[in-house]
Formats: sequence, C-alpha cells, structure tokens
Amino acid sequence: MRVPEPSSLSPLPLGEGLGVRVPGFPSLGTASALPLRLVSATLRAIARRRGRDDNGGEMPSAAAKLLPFPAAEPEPVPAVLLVGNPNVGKSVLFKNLTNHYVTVSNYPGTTVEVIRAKARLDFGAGGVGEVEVIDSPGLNDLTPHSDDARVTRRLLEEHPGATVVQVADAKNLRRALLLTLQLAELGRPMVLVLNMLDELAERGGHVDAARLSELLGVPVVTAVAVRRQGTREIALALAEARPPAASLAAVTGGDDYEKNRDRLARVHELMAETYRIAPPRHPTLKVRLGFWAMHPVKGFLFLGAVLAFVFWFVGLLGAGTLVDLLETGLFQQRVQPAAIRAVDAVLPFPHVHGVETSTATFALPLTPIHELTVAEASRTVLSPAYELTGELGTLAGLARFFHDFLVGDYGAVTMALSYALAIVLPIVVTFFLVFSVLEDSGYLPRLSIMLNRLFRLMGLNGKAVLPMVLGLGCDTMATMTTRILETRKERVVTTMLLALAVPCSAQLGVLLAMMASLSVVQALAWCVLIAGVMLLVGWLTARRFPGETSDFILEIPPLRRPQARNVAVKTLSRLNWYLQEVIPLFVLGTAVLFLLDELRLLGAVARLGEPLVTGWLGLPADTANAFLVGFMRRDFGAVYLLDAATGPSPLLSPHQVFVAMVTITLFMPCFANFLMIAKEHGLRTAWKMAAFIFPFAFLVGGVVNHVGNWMSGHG
Amino acid sequence: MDDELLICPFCGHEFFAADSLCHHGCPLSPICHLHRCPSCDYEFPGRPRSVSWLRRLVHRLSGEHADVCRQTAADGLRTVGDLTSGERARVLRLAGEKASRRNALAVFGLVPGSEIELVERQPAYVIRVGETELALDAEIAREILIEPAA
Repeated sequence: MRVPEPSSLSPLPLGEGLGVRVPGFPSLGTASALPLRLVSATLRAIARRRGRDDNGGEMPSAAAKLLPFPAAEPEPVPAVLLVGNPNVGKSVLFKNLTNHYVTVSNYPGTTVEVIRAKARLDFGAGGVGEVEVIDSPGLNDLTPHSDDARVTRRLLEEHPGATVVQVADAKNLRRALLLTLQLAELGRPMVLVLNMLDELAERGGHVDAARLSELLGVPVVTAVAVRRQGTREIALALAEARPPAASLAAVTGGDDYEKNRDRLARVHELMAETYRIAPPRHPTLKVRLGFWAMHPVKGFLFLGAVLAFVFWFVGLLGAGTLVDLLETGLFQQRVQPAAIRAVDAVLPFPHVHGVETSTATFALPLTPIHELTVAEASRTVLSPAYELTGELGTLAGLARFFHDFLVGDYGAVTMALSYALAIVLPIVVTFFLVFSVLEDSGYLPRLSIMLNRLFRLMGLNGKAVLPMVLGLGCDTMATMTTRILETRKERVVTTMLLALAVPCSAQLGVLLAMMASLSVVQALAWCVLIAGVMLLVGWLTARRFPGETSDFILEIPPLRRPQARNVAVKTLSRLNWYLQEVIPLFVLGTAVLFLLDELRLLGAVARLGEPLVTGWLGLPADTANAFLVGFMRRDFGAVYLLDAATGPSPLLSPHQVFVAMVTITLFMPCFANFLMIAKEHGLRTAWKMAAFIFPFAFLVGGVVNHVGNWMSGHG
Repeated sequence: MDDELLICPFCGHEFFAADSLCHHGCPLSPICHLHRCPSCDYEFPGRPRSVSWLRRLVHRLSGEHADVCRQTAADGLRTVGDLTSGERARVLRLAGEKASRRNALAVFGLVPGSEIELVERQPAYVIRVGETELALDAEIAREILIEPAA
C-alpha cells in the first residue's frame, strides 16, 4: 500500500501538521472547522502551485494567517516514532499509548497522514516522563526510491533524536524483519514490538523474543495491542532502546530489489533461529470464511448475503422503521407541536394553526413490502400551516417573520432540524455502524478481489474499491482516501466517480425514503442506471485520460471478529462529525430558502429554471429550488424533492420522482467535496469536474424523462 | 509516448511519462520536451525519439526480459500462472521488466527461494507467502517463475 507523494498532488506535505482534518479520520472536535481549513489548504495549494510562498512574499494573506505550525521546531520532549508494515496495529498501539483516538480498521492504509499526541509514560526505574508519540502511515519498504517511505523518511529527518518503535505483525515476521534491517542501516535507537501474538498462536506459531532481541541487539517486546497487552512493557523498553547491531547494517547489491533480496536472505537466517510454525491440521472457521469470501462462486454468494443484510439493516430498518419512528413519532407528534406552541407564546400575532391526525407505526421490516407491525400510535397535532385571523401591524408582521423562520414552511425546526435529525440521522447511524463492522472484519479487501475485474474496465483496479465503498459514507472523506491509489490516473478517475455517482449516506437516506413512492421495478432501474452511468463514465474517462493503471498486488488481512468497542467508538466519531458538519449547513440552506421565499424570489428562480426543469426534465417549476440548493449540498436538494414526492397529495408522479432522483444523485456531493477535490488535484481539475458533472446530471435526467415518456406512450 | 517508462536521473524514481508533473496552465506544455519527476520535482529532458527507438531495439536484443520469455517457452519453465489451486512451489526468479514491480513483490517476502502456495486462480490469483496472503493480477502471476517445492 503506497502513500501518495506530497509533492505532486497535494502540495501540502503530509508531515507538516497540515490543515485538513477529515471527519471520521483523525481527531474529534475539529470537524466543524472543516470548510475553513479546506479553504486555507486550497489557497495554500494554489499559492504553492504558482511558486509564490516558496520564494517568500506574496501568499494570500488569509492563507498565511492560517498556516499550521512551522515545520522545524525544536523538540521540547523526546519523540517516539511508530513505524511498521501496513495493518500491523500501529494506530491501536498509538491509541493505547496516548489515549488519543484515531481511526483503526482491518485493512492496510487506514492512516494516510501523520498523527501526533503527547503521552505520559511510566518508564519504571526511569520515572515518569512525557513523550511525543508520532503515528506514521504503514510502509513495506524503506528504500529511498519507494513511494511508501517518503513520509516516514521525512519524519525520521525531522526528528533526529526520535526513538523508533517498530511495530511488527508477529505472524508476518519475515516482512517485519526486512524493515528492521532497513531501519538498522539508519543506526537509530529502536524497540521492536511483536504485535498480534494471539493470532500467531492461533496458527500454531511461536517466536523466541529473547533470542531475537539478542540477535538484533534491540529490546523486543511482545504485545496484543487490541487487548491492551504489552503497553506497559513498551514504555519500560523505551528506556533501553539501542541502535541495532552494526553487523546487520551491511548490505550488498545494486538496485533496491537486489538489496532487499540480500536482506531477506539474512532475515531467513534470523528466522531459522527464532521462529517456528506448525499449522493446525484443520483450518478454523474464520480462516475458512475468509477463503469463501474470495472464492469465485461462494464469494459472490457471500457478497449477495452481505448486500442483503446491509440493505435490510440500512434500507429497511434505518430508512423505514427508525425514520418513521423519529419523523412521525417524535418530530411530528411531539417536537413540532411543542415548538409551534412555544413560538406562538413568545411571538403572538393573530393566526390559527391547522390540525391534523398523525399516525406513527413501529414495525419490524421483513421484506421491502412486508412488515410486522409492533405498535401504533395516533395523535391529533398542530400543523405548521396556519390562517391569519386579522390585520398585521408592523410589530405583528415582524413576529410573523420570526415565527415563520422557526416553524413555518421553511422553518429551522420544522424543516432543517426534522430533516437532519429524523430522516438523515437514522440512516447515517445505521450505515456507519455497518460500515465499521465491515471495515474491522477485513471483508473489504476481499471485496476488492471480487470486483477487481469490473474496476479494470474503468481503468482502476480492485484497490479503488476501498475509497468507493467509503464514499457511500462520505464522499469528501473518500476523496481524501484516494491517496492510497498509486497513479494519478487512478486518483483522478476515482475522485470523479465518487463525485458523480456514489451517493453518500446522508443522500442515500433521503433517496431510500423517496423510493417508497416508487415501484420495485423503478427502484431497481435506479440502481442499474446509476451503476451503468458509473461504468460508462469510468470507461470513457479511462480511455481519455492518459496514464497507467497500477499493478494489483494487495495484501489480504485475516478475517477478524470486530470489537464492539472499536465499532462503537468509530461510529460515534463519524456521527460527531456528521452532527457538526451537516446540521449547520442544513439550517443555513433552510434559511436561504426561507429568505428567498419571503422576498418572493423563489418564484423568480422557478421561472428562470423553467426551460430546464419543466421543459427538459418534465418536473414542476417549484422543484427548481431543489436543484438550486442541490448545488450546495445535493442531499439537501434531495430532501426538498422528498418533500414534493411524499405526503398525502404528492406534487410529483412516480415517473417524475424517478427523473428527479436520477438527476440529484448525479450532482456533485457538496461544497466541501469540491474544496477537497481542489486540494487534492488542483482548483482547475475541480472546476473541470464541476463543469462536467452538473450539465451531465441534467442531461441524463432529461434523457430518462424522455425515454420514460416514450415508453409509457408505447406501452 | 505517454506509456514510456522514465527513470528520474536525480532520485531514481520510476514513473510513466503520463505521470510527469507539469505546472498547471503552463502555455508551453504541448511543445515542451521536459519531464518533471513526481517524486523530487527534478526536471529533465526526454530522450530524443530516435535514440529511444535505438535503445528499445538494443534493449530488446540484449534485455533480460526477452531472454526470460524465450527461456520460459523453450525450457518449459513454469510460472505461478501455470499452478493449480492448492499447489505449492518455490520461486525461481521474478522475471518482470520493471524493477519497481519486482521490489513491490520482494517486500512481501516474495524473492527467489521462498516457498509459496497458490490459494486460488479466480477472480484473482491469490498466493500465500508465509502467513501473508497476496492477491495478484494474472499478468504479474505469469512473471513469477517457479520450480517444484522441495
């Protein structure tokens, strides 16, 4: 797994404590500043492209102020650098040492940037001291030419006094020791941690840590990081860190490959003395399941089962039962009437609210059309619609304005909060939960193998499956993860497809709710159409875009049982981002709509968009507003369409819902996504993508409309 | 020209001409003959066409890749592509032309002398080296020459 070169694509070097923290990835609580940070990062990127800030002087002042801490600062506390192969548990160990949460998953390449935190460690006889722990992206090869190593080599240069803690997967000792020998050539004090000792034992293996320590000349500690075993011992060993034996450092050979071959020959000698393995006669269930998951026949059955479960859990339970419970049961029956009464009490003006009966059901979904009703509750409630009962003075007019802003048709409570909390939240929660389980189980790399051929058509390989699946959670987050891909072509094509055709969980939620008004055939047609558009555009982009697809060499981690704690923490950290990121934008979007409505501009917008929306897409002119806000966040546009598609007397016919769904799905996800693309690939690429995506979305929507009309005319 | 494999004379990074780094919006890009290494930003001139043609010819006549391919066919050497699922073998050599690809395999412990087992051939080749399972494209699998396991 390679880490991107900072110089070519993202001019921000990875190690400089860079400005962009993407939600769900590194740290809690910083996410609300995402747009601001993205703007600063983009400005910096642009400035650097023009070669200005390097020559001193003309950086945009906003960016200059927001520049992160300088690269070379003196080290006040000793630094500990965690280095190791991908997916050996560096991040878990980092968390254990510092109690600072970072995203941990069972696939290589989870850590794409450098993360630091301070830790107070008990060194035993050495007393208690503070150290700075630095987590680095995984690498397989430390030779100077390797892409993997660039970030780590820079970190090593920046911290000349740092102790290197190499984290090793005990069952992959050969590869770990290759890295140890490469590190030995640097002559740094180091500690070797043999992690995942439990998995080694499960496979009938044993490592003689004492003998290994003798041979290498450095302390060797055994650990099972996920169970917090060995953390104390590592702290104790830090005090005894030494440079490895000098005899290990001598290497012969010409190029990198020959040198590594030579090193591996020594590793072989080391392992002969310290490592034995006697595989159990019968493979365990986990091993067999892992094998099935990538079998040409059973693998697809497995995939089908996984998809069916995800659909049931997210699509039916999340988007059906939970949404109904929250939207009708909580918001419509409790929150909304209470909010209306409270606002009426504070801001009185002569009016009478309508009354409606709302029924909430709690039902366990069995199939898309059958469900098991568990409980039902009907209540008569106040509705936001009202009639004026007298003349409005200036004061009463003002009261009406704020009343409508809070609980009117485009009210902050009635629209923004109820959408964000009642419709989108349950789906986001269920999706993140399921995604965390899949991540931790190690199924995703197996999915890469199953889909490798398909992705080849789009000029990608199976490795691009990870960002694509993550895109179903958040496209912005996934755009940053495209860094794990090796060539520029793959990164650009993946970013493009993410922005065009992969709906994020917020939007997916709204779309699933809209699907309720479609027939099963139409719902399937939507899936096939979006997948088809993705394949077609991917195929065309791959033909048009110069460059190579990288080699598909992918390490497959063992299947593991996901740990409830890690799944919960990961889901919560992503949710935390969601709440901070989405709610302000939803409220802002609603406020914009409200103001446009108050100023009688919504009608004007609708008239302006008429030829496109009414003529080409065949939708009512009112829906122009949906596409207008869709430019900002497409899920919010979808929410607006949902409003028009459902209810007692829907504005849209099923055919129109279908057309609207296709069009809004193909929109660019959100403004933050645009900024992230600009950061990763340059502002020019971002504009080009936007210039393609929006007209293309309308084009496809219009074609679907006309073909649908033609078919119903002939059918 | 875009699929030409370049080696940066400054840092030794291997990359394709298409991945050569250009300044955005440089008006000279269509006629510019310089390549910029995506790894170290060093700019260097591309090879003149005739030389590159000559070089390719020389490379083809003397190159180890052609050698190996001929050898494979003549001596009946087997590659990972010829193994059946579950079969074990020992790696004889990595025959790929790209040193970076050989090294990418080496860092997973796949070097001459190491024992491997083919786990499956479809939908991708999956081999086991020690306790590491690696998925490979067919193209790469066919570049790994093997002999029967000891």
